[in-house]
Amino acid sequence: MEQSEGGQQPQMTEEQRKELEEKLKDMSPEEIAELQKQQCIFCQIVSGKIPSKKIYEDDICVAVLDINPATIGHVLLMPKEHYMIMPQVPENILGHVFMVAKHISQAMLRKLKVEGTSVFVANGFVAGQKAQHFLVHVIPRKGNDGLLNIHEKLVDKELLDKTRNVLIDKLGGKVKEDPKKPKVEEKQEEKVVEKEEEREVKEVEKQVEEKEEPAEKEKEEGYREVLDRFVEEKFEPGDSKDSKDSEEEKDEDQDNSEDDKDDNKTDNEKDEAVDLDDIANLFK
Amino acid sequence: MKCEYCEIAKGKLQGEKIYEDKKIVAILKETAVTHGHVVVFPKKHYVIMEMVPDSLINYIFNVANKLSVAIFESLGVQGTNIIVQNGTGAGQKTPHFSVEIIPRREEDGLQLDWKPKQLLEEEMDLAFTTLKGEGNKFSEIVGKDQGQDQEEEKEVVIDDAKTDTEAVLEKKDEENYLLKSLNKIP
Repeated sequence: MEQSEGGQQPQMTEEQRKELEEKLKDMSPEEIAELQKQQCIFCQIVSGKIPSKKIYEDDICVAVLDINPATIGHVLLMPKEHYMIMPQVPENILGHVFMVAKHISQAMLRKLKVEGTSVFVANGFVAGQKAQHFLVHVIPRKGNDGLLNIHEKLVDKELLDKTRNVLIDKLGGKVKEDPKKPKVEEKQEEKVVEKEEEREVKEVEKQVEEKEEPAEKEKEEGYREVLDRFVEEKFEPGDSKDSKDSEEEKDEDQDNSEDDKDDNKTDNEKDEAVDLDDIANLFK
Repeated sequence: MKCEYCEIAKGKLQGEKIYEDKKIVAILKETAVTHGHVVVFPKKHYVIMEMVPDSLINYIFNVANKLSVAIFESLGVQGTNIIVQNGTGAGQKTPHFSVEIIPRREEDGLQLDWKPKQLLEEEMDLAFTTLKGEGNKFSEIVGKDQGQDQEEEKEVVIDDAKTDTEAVLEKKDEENYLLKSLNKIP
């Protein structure tokens, strides 16, 4: 949800509306674009006409605190140039904006006591886009905050195949076939082979899952470890080869505070149980 | 513990790949929010977004943009959401950085928006000063680690040997992130 001013427009009389429509017909695309820019709340924020809490600004983009936030520290990031939707944004600007989003997310993890961050873009009214200016939301997250609840369910196989084929065609068919899979010309045989392979894979995965369920908790804790290392600034971007020594030092500290953690864990356990089911569903 | 997305990138697990190149893979999710739900992820294993080099972030979001357009045009949807869930608190389910593209249709029943909160002036100010302080450092670092990705390409992109990340995941720790944060306050 964007700032509330974006949804409010001055009410026009019929006459005014007709006048405006006539004007628009005569205007060139550049003039129309200029008009949109003048009326855009976020362009006015960028230019400073509307006051805002800017936390970062460079030649390409601006980041401000959202005045109608989902939570404390909710940041709105936008290119200075006026683009209505993401496909209109040039590659270099889009890339730059998301690089900044990453650094903002990093700052949130380090300085605001959060358990994660979400980067969110709404393209189109149906998707929740409220403003006529392309925006990237960077939202600090905590478990149980109730934001961006994504519930997943199995999609019908036929529909899935149909969608997959349409998309592969659209994208130019750039998919590497599994080298172990035998190439079969007839479609029916392919389906049968695929189904059998699916069953085999599922059986193997079930066995693997049974063995690895105890490891699920470890996996979840692994995130916290990674986040913690990041927060303590012992981590460089893109650096997965961090020292194990720092990890071992932390372990000793944690052993002492285990008792206190058990109390805090009970609330989290329910969420973990739900998460485990969802993770299990991913393997189906 | 093997990473599901790394396995898909290698071609081992049955993934619904729809696009792939040297750096990234895009799959159509079988267990999805709605049909047409696509996930893009780098072939190289990064747990969270902060670990990914800027140049790869640049690349992957441009690919996500193109995928979003392709979905919009070919599936006849009315909009798309692009979401990154970074960390368990954000609902990240697979320990491999990925960008989700969710097609939106009218009355699809998905609730991805939120009710704005009324925050106290102090809370806003605190967040503002904290983040602004960090923001002042960005200009020195945004885009500066672009070179890193090129160097890393020379290394084996997906290897079976244990990376440090996997070693971390296998450790039997029982941390509480909140408690750790509290302990840091002097």
